[in-house]
Amino acid sequence: MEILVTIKELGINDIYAISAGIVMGTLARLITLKVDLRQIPSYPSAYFNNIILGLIASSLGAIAIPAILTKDFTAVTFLALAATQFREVRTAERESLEQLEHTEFVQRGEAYIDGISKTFESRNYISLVTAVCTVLVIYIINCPDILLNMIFGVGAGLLVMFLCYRFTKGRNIGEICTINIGQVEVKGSELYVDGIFVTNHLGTDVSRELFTSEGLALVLEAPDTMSSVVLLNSGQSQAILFEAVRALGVKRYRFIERNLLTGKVIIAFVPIINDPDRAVKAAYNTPVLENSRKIKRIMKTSFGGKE
Amino acid sequence: MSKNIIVYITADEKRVLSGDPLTLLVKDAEEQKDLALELSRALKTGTVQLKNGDYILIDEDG
Repeated sequence: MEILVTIKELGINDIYAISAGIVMGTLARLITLKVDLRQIPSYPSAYFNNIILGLIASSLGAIAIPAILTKDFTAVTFLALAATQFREVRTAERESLEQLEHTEFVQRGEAYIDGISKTFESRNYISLVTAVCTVLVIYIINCPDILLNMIFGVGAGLLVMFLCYRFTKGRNIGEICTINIGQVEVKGSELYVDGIFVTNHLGTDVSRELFTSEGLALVLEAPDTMSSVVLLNSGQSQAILFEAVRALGVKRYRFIERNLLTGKVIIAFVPIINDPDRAVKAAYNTPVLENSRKIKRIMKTSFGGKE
Repeated sequence: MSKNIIVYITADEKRVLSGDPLTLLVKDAEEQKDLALELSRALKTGTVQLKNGDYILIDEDG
């Protein structure tokens, strides 16, 4: 009953503003919730959970401005609550992925898991900020024509959504290096790809025959040293191996060779589905991890320290 | 990212030393090859054949 009384106390403009904020915030989460070949979050349960979390985040953002305008400053604590909740989302995602590590063909690695969980957290903030900005603009415009208020609010929401998405969106591995199929060669127990030594773990005849007939190798090469630093990062190359193996499956044997002399990274494995193009595509779409990412502008900055 | 030698398989008794890892002495190269294959399948390890003909089984989870 108390809720009904509160709703009755709200003006029509408040209801429209809050509704617009919630819709825009949830829309922001839906847009950033892509189902691609990586399938994170898993579909449909985790996908649904994330939509609901986005709805909750945008609701918290949408009611913050009207609450502050009524001089209810304790409403700010809602935002602190939201931050705590989003941190929980990150922790829960990390724990879930860590627990699943041993069920995968290859481990994602801690760097990749950290990147995924941070992304989940940040996308809830995008929902919240979009909702806050939508509602704020509606209140600032405060025109007698509700439709005009809504148009400005939605416009502001879309702009914020776009800017936040642009700011948080990372790059793909394919954008910083070339990816080619390598020539697999087995000499004794040694595996070479394009003449580069990868491993000597092929000690048995079975493994040698398997790799010779069905082995697949990807050769990744960065065009400049800055990209090489990213590519040769151990967490980054583990993430590429994970994505390639998850796309095709692996019968047995998977190797990573980071050749520091040539700056090349070689991913070699025996896939279940022998589709080299799909392997290249999976490697291409692997995100550049935040931990391995180097930004030239920041790398050049001394931040007051001695060069 | 540590790697462990699980088993060392040799046909030369002079290379058999006590301690870790387990070292197995076999009669000839054929038996050595068969044993390396069977153990690598059972233990899910990587197998390396050294230039002296001996085999080492390495823990792949490293």
